[in-house]
Amino acid sequence: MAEAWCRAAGVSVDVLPLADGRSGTAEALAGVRDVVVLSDATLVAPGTDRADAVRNGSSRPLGTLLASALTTDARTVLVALGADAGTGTAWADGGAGMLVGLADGLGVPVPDSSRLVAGGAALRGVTADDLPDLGALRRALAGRDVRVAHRAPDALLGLGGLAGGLVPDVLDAVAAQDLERALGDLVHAIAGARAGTLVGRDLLGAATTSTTSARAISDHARELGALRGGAAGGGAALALAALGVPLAPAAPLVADLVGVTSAVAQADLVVVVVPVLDGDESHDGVLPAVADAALDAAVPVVVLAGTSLSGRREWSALGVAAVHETGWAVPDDVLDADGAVADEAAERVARIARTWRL
Amino acid sequence: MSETTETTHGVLLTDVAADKVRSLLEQEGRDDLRLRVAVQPGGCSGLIYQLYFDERLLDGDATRDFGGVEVVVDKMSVPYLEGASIDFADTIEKQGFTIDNPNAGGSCACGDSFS
Repeated sequence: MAEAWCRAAGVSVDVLPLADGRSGTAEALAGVRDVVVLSDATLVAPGTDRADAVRNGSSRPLGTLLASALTTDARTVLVALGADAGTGTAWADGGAGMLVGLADGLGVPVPDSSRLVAGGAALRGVTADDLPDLGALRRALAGRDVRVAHRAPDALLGLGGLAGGLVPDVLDAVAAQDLERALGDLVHAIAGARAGTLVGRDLLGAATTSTTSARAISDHARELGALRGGAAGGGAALALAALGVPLAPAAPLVADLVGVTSAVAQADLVVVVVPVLDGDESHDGVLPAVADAALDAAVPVVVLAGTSLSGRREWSALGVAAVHETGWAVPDDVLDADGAVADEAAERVARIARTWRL
Repeated sequence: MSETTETTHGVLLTDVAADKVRSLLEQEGRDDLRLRVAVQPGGCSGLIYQLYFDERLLDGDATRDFGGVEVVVDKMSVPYLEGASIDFADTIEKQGFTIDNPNAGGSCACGDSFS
């Protein structure tokens, strides 16, 4: 598309890959130095039965990968957790397995890992005594710049949480309620394991007088269960947050790492290509991250969307000048049988480019 | 307020808040902790504050020292917190840490988020 635009408008085009934490995030950041990207999307085997994954899948491989990443000398370790109830998670264990994988990799003893690596439903009744030393894990991560980049802002627990989001496509209501209870037990166990310290606790509105009382532990568990982004990666985000890893929306973080702000400042026009422009993309996708930078630099933004489900008022509010619907949902849609850009696709891009010739 | 290092962010920590932080750090028995303040998207008004003790220093963090208490702000949050003031109150009317932010256009009824 960039080539077609370049030829039609007679301008130079810089292509910046972007991602929102889902599949493609590691590829988008491949050119960024000193950053190691771990993506939960790479841990989902093709053809995985989602119901089975949710019941029995374990996030242990993510913990193992993270422990390995900590042995590199990368400046930043980015854990991209884009898989969620809607996009297909390989597990729904709240990160319990991840804690075991990380502890094993770092040499931190785990009292009894059997319940923690057997999937979300097996977490019913788990207590703080079942968990590895969270303080030791936290200290191991503290010396490194480790971050979680999440796509969806959903909390782990509650009506809009991980278990609730799996109904009715993956779980029925009864199974989802069972999973919610099991995850609630895990969250309470994590809060209990972190009793006695204020480190990582939100000091705004939190009681600072006692951290070990049952009330304080319950309050902390409620805080963790409602943590924005906690459901990402089948709940692994919540477990990582409990270890002091900051959670942030993926799209602006990726945009910052690939240098969107400086690239936009040097451009006369920004073209954002997305498969679907809808409310989801407008709030949590790459578009707002780019549009914000373009607005600051007073550069117009044009969107090429495979399908546009947003009205003019919505995308105008983001600072977008125009949206062109192309009908292309995936890159393969623009390729011919030989894998080259189809003439029809190239001509359509060229027509749009001529419209925006500056 | 007192500061002993070069200013790199515009967040202020009142003397009362600094004293409270020092006493909490003594309670924790740690001298490697910083007070991190950040904004995150969320809440009914659009942005929410986070204030917590953190042992980590992330790439791009801005720091400022208030009489031995180090306040740290991540790169993305700095513009939203320019001139914000962290205070501590322990009265019948108000208890705990508070953040007063001149950049906030409005807040929601529950007071948890701002825009």
